[in-house]
Amino acid sequence: MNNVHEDLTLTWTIGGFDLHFSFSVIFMTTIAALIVAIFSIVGARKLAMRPTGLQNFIEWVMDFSRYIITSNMAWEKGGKFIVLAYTLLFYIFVANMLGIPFELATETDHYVLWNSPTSDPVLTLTMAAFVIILTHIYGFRMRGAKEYFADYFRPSPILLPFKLIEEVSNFLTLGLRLFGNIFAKELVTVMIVTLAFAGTVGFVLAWIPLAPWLAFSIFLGALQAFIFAMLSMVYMAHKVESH
Amino acid sequence: MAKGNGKRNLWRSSVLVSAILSSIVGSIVGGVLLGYWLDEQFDTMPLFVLIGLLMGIFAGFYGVVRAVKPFLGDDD
Repeated sequence: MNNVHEDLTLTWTIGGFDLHFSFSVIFMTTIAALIVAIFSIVGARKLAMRPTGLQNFIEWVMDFSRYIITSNMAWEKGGKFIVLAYTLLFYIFVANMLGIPFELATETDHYVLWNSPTSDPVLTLTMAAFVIILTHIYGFRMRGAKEYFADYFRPSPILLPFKLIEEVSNFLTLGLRLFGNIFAKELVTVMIVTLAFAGTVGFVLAWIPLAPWLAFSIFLGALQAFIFAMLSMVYMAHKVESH
Repeated sequence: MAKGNGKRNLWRSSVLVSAILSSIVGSIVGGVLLGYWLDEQFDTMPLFVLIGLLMGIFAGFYGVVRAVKPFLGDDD
């Protein structure tokens, strides 16, 4: 069980560049996106004044996204980001949960078939890059070029290099935090499950660490989804609001 | 950054802690990476890495100040 996280990759060469497509990431992101889409569409299809069941749940997620935005910026400015916050929160939560009940890998080659897609750094860093690029686009569009560039020199021009470093570090930490947490979660889960197949005693006793660890994994997945959405809105507020 | 009062304090403080941690660690890593890239462009190996490291430390400090500022109370 050494190469647990080996990916089944398809390589496609275009003009000298190798494009690698990881099967598990493509497959699992599609499943996560489908789950989010189905829950959202079914939950919002028959809207009732007295919400029941799924509509209740979707409204609660929506309220939570609104809370994330309003704790960072004024609603007049941040209201348009509610769909972004909702999507990030819901999608990352579902993606983190997918790897908890079981994981699949082929027996001989250890190719991963089913896991949390957020345990792949390429996916999380891509999402972080898109969020950071979006904050710049909206900062530019909502406040104008002059205000946007003046922000790099406020309150003092000495801070310019620090602000540039901050942009790089925001991108790195936003993506790598999510990846690190979920990757560590999957690694420890797989290690405990490996322990269960080590012998009879291990098989009987493995649930003692496994049950609390899986419970903690659910907490961890929810917390990381919240932190990703919250920090995205924090960075958005830094760019969109005038200081 | 989030305002200091309000409910759900465990979740908010976890966001604050991870914002502080990541601005310390991430700024140093980001500064060193930027310095490394500049060094490779200009072929001046240790110079910009060291400058980037120092600036990363200061940028991390600046990030921490920015993150905890709403919680200090004297900011409107």
